[in-house]
Amino acid sequence: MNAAPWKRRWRRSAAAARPGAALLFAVAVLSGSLCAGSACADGLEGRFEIRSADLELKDGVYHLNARIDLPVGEAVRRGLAEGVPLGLELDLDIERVRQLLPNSRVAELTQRYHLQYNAVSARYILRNDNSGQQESLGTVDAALEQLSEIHGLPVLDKSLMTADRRYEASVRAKVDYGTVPFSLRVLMFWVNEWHRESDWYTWTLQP
Amino acid sequence: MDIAALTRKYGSTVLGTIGVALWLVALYLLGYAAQNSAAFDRWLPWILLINISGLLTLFVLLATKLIRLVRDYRRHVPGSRLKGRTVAIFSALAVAPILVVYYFSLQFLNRGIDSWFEIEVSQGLKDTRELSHAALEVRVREFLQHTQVVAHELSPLTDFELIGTLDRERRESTALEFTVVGAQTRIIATSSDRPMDALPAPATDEMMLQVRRGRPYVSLDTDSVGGYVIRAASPLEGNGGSAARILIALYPVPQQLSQLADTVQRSYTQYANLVQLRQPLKSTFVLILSFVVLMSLIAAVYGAIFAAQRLVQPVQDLIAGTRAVAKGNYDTKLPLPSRDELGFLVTSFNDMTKRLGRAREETRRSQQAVEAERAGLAVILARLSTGVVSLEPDLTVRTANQAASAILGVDLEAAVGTRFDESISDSTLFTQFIATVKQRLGADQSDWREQIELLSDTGKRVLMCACTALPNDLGGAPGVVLVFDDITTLLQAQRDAAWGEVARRLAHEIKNPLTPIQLSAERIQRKFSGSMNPEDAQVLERATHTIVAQVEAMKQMVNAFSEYARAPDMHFSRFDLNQLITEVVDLYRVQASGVELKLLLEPNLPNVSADRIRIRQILNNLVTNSLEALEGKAEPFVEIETHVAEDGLKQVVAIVVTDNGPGFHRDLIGTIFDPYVTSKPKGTGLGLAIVKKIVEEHGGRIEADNQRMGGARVRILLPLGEAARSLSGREPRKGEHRRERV
Repeated sequence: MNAAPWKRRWRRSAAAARPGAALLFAVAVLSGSLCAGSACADGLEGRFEIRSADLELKDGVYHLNARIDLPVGEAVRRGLAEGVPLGLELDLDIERVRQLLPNSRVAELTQRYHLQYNAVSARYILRNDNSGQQESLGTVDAALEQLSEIHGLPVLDKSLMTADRRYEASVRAKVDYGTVPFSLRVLMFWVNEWHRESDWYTWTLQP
Repeated sequence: MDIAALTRKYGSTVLGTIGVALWLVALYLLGYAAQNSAAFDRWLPWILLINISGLLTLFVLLATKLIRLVRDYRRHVPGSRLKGRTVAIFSALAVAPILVVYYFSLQFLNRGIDSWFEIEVSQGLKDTRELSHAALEVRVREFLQHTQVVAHELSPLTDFELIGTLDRERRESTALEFTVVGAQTRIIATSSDRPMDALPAPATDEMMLQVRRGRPYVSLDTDSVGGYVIRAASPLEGNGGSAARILIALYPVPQQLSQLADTVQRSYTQYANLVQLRQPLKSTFVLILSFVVLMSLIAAVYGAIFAAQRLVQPVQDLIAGTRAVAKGNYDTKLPLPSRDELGFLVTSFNDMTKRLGRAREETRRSQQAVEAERAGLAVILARLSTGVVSLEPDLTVRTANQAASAILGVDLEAAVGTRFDESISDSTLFTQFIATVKQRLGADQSDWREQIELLSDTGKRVLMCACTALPNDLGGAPGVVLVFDDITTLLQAQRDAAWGEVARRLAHEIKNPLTPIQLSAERIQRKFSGSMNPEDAQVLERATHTIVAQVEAMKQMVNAFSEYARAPDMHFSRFDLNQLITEVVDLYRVQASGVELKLLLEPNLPNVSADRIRIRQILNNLVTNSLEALEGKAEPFVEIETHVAEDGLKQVVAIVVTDNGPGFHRDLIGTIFDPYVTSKPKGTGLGLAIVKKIVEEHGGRIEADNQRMGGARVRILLPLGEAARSLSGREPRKGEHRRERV
């Protein structure tokens, strides 16, 4: 099911090859190694991962359905209730598998969600940053449940895929807690309380 | 100066300055970025990199300096301890204020950030939120009631009737939108004041769940443009079937109230973010402050080392220069550090070494001159025929020349450094000389002059000795220098000259009247012997015979004197000495048949250049003397030996004539070669004197002594080759030099 590891590494390295990204990558590696050595005390209690994901063909369009395990701890719930925002970013890659050459990317999608408590209305506002649509939810549990469930997100037209080829789809989620400035994140790189990334969830797709 | 030279000279300084400036700018930007992140997000990694690089560079520089300092300290490098103390003092002076400032900055930082989150602020925000909430709550309830009333009115209507009624009801109210949904949230009818802008507000799961439970739903929501709307839902009564209808109403919130609510919400959110960032901000500020302090500390310590280096360097130079001067390197010139007191000290040091160098050069030249003088004096002393011995106050031999050793018959040069009187020697001359010298020095006489007569095995030796005290600049007891000369030969020559004069006068004054006396006596005898009676004639004959005989004897004596005193008339020739000796001895073998004549002649004896007749005379005299001395002796023998020997630097032929007779009289042995010295009753006392005279005329030397086992021994040393004539003081006349046929 999973893609070849070297291709995965190559893709990640290519993504990191942006101006200044090398340094950030080095800092991230350093912070990662530091976090690996000591238990990172972020706001999540448990493993943050994509539990399931699939592409559903409906009316000639592939729709993404995904289930995210977002084990938010009590501290984060309190923070949310006090107005600290929670952001979720969903990365989707669809690549055509090639035997000897690196896979070719067919589609790439980044979907961002923003969950924040409105103190005046006492409601949790879940907003899709891509479409601008928002949803008002009465409880934090309902809001988190809604955030963890991706349902029917249109991602790719079937016509862009060839029938006798094999494809790989990968999904990764990133969660950002609060609006911590970039400089603080860099300076406090060893304190990873604000940002978490899941592993890539990859499956094979045969049109 | 070309560009390359400028680059070499100032390149590192310029690069260092640029690096420090860049680092300081990055440090400033780091602190600024912590507060205004958005402006520096892009550059922050580079800023961090520059700062970390600066810190690492400083750390490496400091570590290098410290390692070198510790290494120098352990190796006791000159100035390292002073440098270490200076660095410690400077570091303490620089580090202490920094740490104090750091401590209070931390306190201020923590308290300052905590003050942002005072409970009053938090409570004020909460109260504001509650106030806003309360203000909107009244309106929310009003709209909910209105929605319920409208729903009640719409309940009896069919779906088709709803379309027109719903629009009228909306127009009669302030609602933005009325929507009736049925099963599966299917929209049955809707009415909006902005039908072209947006779709009808969807029914949410929460809304449907609550309404289906029979409870009205109302919420204050934000719209997509940031404003506030009130959303209310109420079921339509009546149909009671499974497809229950629900009225969803959307009411606007006044713009002013909406803006106020938005402001409250924004403040609330910002405050929440700030609260969330409280600890990270504190940590970040502490981190940056610690970073700056750490770099300041490192820079301060590095600066302390640098300053100490600049301060101690002249001292180290001075120490190194002092050591170099102590080792004799007076060319040391220290670099001038500055024009302060240390510079003055260095200048003084350089002047001092310059003067020392000049003085040393002068001393060296003086020493060379003294050495040259001493070497010249040593050469002179070595070539002197006069013996010179210098003694320390304790009679330790300080110096002695070759002549002293030759005169005293002991190697005094080897005795340098030992006590004069403890020198081990068998030389009787040396023993007598020491006794005389000690006697005079023991009487505290340091300046004296005396003619010393010493008895040796080969005769009497006369030394003219002078003693003088040496100057002693150190003030201690002075040493003495003994200067002595062997004047035996001189005295002998004087004596020989006197005897020659006597003999010449005697020959002249006595020989002349002898002939008339002899002739007169013979005439008296001839004239009066015939006229006298026999008895008188016999008396006259005896008397005249006596007169004639004595006159003849006197003539012989005068002739002998004449022979002794005559000027040498030498006829040199080269001949085989062994053959001459054999001829002479063969003549005596017949006459002295009872005496054994032994010959120990060296077979390879080289020919000698001498007057053959006079050498023969020498041999005759010596053999005759020995034979006369052996009269009445049992088993008498005379032995003649020849061999080549060394006499000083000369190669000589030695002729040694020994016998087993009574030997020379002890009292006469010192004057045995003087005229008229003889132990024989019939001897004239001129035989050995003539022998000695002939030997000296050949440039040779003669010695006479007694053998231990008894008997006399005469040893003649004749120089070999041309040295004989040159030493004899005369050159042979033309044609005089001939090789005698043997």
